[in-house]
Amino acid sequence: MKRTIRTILALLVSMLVCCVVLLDLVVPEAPPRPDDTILLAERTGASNLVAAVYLGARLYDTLFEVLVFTVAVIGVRFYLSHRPSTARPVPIPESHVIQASAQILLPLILVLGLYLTFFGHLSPGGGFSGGVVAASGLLLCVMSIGLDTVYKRLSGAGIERLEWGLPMMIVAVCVLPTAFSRPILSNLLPIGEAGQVFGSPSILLLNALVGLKVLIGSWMVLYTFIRHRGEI
Amino acid sequence: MAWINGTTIAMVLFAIGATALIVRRDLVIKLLALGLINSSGILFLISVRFHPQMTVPILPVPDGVLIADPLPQALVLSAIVINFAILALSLVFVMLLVERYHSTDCERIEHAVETEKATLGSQNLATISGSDETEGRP
Amino acid sequence: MISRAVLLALLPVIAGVSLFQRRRLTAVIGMGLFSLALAATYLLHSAPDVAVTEAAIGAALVTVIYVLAIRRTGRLLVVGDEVPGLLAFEGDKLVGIEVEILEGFARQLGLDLSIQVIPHAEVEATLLRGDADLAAGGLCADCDGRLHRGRTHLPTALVRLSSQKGSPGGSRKEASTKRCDYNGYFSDLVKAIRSNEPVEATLDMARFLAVSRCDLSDWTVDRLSDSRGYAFVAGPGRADIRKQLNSYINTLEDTGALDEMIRRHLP
Repeated sequence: MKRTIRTILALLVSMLVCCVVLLDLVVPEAPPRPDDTILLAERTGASNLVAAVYLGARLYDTLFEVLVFTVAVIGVRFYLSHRPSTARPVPIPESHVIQASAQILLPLILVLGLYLTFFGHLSPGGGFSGGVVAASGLLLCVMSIGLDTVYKRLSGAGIERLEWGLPMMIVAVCVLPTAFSRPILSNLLPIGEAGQVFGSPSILLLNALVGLKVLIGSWMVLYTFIRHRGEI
Repeated sequence: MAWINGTTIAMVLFAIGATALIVRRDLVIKLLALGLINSSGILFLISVRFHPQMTVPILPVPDGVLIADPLPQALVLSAIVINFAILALSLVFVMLLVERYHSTDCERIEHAVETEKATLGSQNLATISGSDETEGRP
Repeated sequence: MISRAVLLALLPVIAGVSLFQRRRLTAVIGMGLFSLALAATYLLHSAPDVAVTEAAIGAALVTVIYVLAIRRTGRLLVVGDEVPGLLAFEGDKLVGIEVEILEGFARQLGLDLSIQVIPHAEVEATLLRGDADLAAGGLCADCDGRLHRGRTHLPTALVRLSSQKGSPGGSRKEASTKRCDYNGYFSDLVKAIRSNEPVEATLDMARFLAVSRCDLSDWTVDRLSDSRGYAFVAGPGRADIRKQLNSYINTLEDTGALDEMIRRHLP
């Protein structure tokens, strides 16, 4: 057993050395052409080129990313659904430090999440990071108030139905340009001035939808884990 | 010092992750090592075409300055979020395994699964050989 | 430029140190730190979108779900080997003095009790790995420095048992083995003694009482001079459990319940 470990380790080390040596020979040095990026910006109207890429030029990939995320969340909820693991869920007495600091921090975190989502086409951010930051804000909420309170308030607002509807809405936004006799997966709403907030409203819309999807998906995962394992 | 750039460090991280994945027997640490391998791939993709003089790919860019390539950054963004979702799913399976076999040691779990399969297999053998004769050929 | 190189050189160090830790929680927190350093690296490589996403996901959400997955589910895990009178199988259930103490203790803590019977030699390794909270089953020797030993609830002595037909391996183990020592499970040992296989073992009194019901005329029995006591052993870093367990046993002793239990199980 020890010998196999040693051989595997030796293999890995040699692989590493070979890669380091060969790397400079294989990858050619070619800087990206500036004209492509300007074309991209004009086509989508976004200042943040990364947002222009993954919501403009590569929207198809983002669709499948949403699909994979949805399937993973469904899998998590399915496999942890049939067992009430903690028979009597033990409520953990919340520390006052967490409650007091959560009252101060929670608005800041949620505003940061909203800013990252809605201004993702102008400055770094985007739907993914905005959704995740807002989900961690929700986690802070759960830690200070308690899981059941937060769940009742959120599911009272119909968050589960929203989770079902969001992938359909994203696909609809991608397919709808065909109704206006424009190619599929292109801009739905007309482009305004580049560099302004509503300069590229379709990218804004998609950022918002993707951010909401990531937020709800992460919340579902966290809720299922905490329900199954006991509160933090 | 010139060889400390993102690509080489990504290789080193890959090697560390792969070694930890093989050597450590704890399932949770194997998952952590897989996450490390993911992160090393992402670091590699981002730093392949990177010069120190390149700037952020956001548009009001001064003249004569190159922009870092936005394409791999966009692809990698989806990859990070998908990694998180897949990690959550695999942790679900690890939790179910641990609750069933009371150990996170992969060898112990394999041993337990094989003993279970052996005991179940010896029970099934009797019933299978009994029902084979009732199935007639068309 | 320099900060980029320094940060990049720091990354494998953090990753290597945190992935080869003994405890899982340390590894998870180390990888959270690694995610933060990686986010800073992405920022220095002019990829701010990726940096924000990696920081938010890697440091916050991934660490949280790992911690949730690692923690134990409100259960008190006890490992140990069988000892008749202290922790023994009666049909399917476990009965004995230690079982009663542990059940009352778990009820007081509000946790479910789960006792696992494993071979005697693996008990310490299991505790050190963090796979169990407490060890029971007639432990009467000094344990590893990292583990916490509770107070003794029952005094005992050590007895050395060896077959007169010649010990395996030819050499006698020194009587300086200060611990109860045998291979495998206790029930296997009893079977081996009954079938007269050559066996060397150091046993404590409860186990010896059970073994003495077999025919021991062919065996050499030495009584070792030190007196010991049975105690529970808590895993590393669980000194709080030891304290609570000690106070629980103290209350049992004060109310006389401990003596009553001893009288019931060990005649």
